[in-house]
Amino acid sequence: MLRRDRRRYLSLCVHVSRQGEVNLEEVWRKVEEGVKKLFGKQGLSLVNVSLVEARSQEGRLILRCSHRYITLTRAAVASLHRLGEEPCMIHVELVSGTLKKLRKALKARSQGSLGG
Amino acid sequence: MVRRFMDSRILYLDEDVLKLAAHLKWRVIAFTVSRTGDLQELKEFKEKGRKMGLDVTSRLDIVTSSIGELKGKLLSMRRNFELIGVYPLNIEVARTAARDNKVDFLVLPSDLKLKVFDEGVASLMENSKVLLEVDLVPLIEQECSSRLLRLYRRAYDVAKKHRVKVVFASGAKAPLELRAPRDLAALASLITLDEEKALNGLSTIPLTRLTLNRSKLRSGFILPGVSIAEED
Repeated sequence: MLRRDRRRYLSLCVHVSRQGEVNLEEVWRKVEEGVKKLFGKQGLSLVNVSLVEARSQEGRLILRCSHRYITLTRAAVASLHRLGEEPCMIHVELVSGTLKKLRKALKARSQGSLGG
Repeated sequence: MVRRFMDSRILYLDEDVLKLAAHLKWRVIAFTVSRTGDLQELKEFKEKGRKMGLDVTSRLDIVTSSIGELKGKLLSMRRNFELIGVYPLNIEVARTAARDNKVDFLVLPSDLKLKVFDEGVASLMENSKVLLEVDLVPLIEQECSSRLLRLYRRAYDVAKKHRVKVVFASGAKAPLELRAPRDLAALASLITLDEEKALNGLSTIPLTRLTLNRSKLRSGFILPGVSIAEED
């Protein structure tokens, strides 16, 4: 029997030079383009990256990708340096095997930063 | 055990960089200066960094095309800095730096026209234990261009052949040029084609060199592992 492909959930944090909300749809498009540009269409199909959630107020994006190709996803994320004409920095904040755990960790983190 | 990551080349430092580096979970960052005058400023950043859980180290970069200038600076400044890097502008300087054990890092220029790293330089570096350093910001800026990736990969293969250790660094000149350690390692793995080696190039290799240099700067140092014990 064919085993179901395991996945990883990644929370991306977006930093830009100006204050205000970030267009996360654009960030997602750039990540997808980045994977395609670096690894081609075959790479994109193997990485199997998809958007799960966009939290515009927090400037966070939750993506899902194949657990085997998480390094490729990270490399594509690290290679992004502009959103339109603006310099930006996007980094992988947390990685988890399940969406539930990732959400829990993000919640704990935001509570921690509020408390501390 | 949790890996400690070190960014061995940051060319611009202010409080924003410190905060961002701490947020990205770097443990050690090397603030790179080109003259001794910046040392006072560095002391303040060291203190601020310590409060954020960040170890800020001092690094001097010698960017030169003159062998005399390189030798002079190495002699006069070695004891003032924890790390010393050389950015060679020609092959002669690269060869001199490669055979001098006062040098810690030989920075691989991202300029495709500057050919300063070849088999000869690598062979000299093998004996003097100078590390090859590859900056990853040019790769990001050039959107991972195949030509630059090929240059880096060729240099990495030459270094590997001569058992020269390779260190990866950001080479960031602005806060938004910083990247998270594991993201930078993922980018470095495009060069090494091995994730573990990329991770080592951002953690164990530069940290081992820093620990050695710090022990050398302490009073009573004779050889690695041998020092004068203090009398009571």
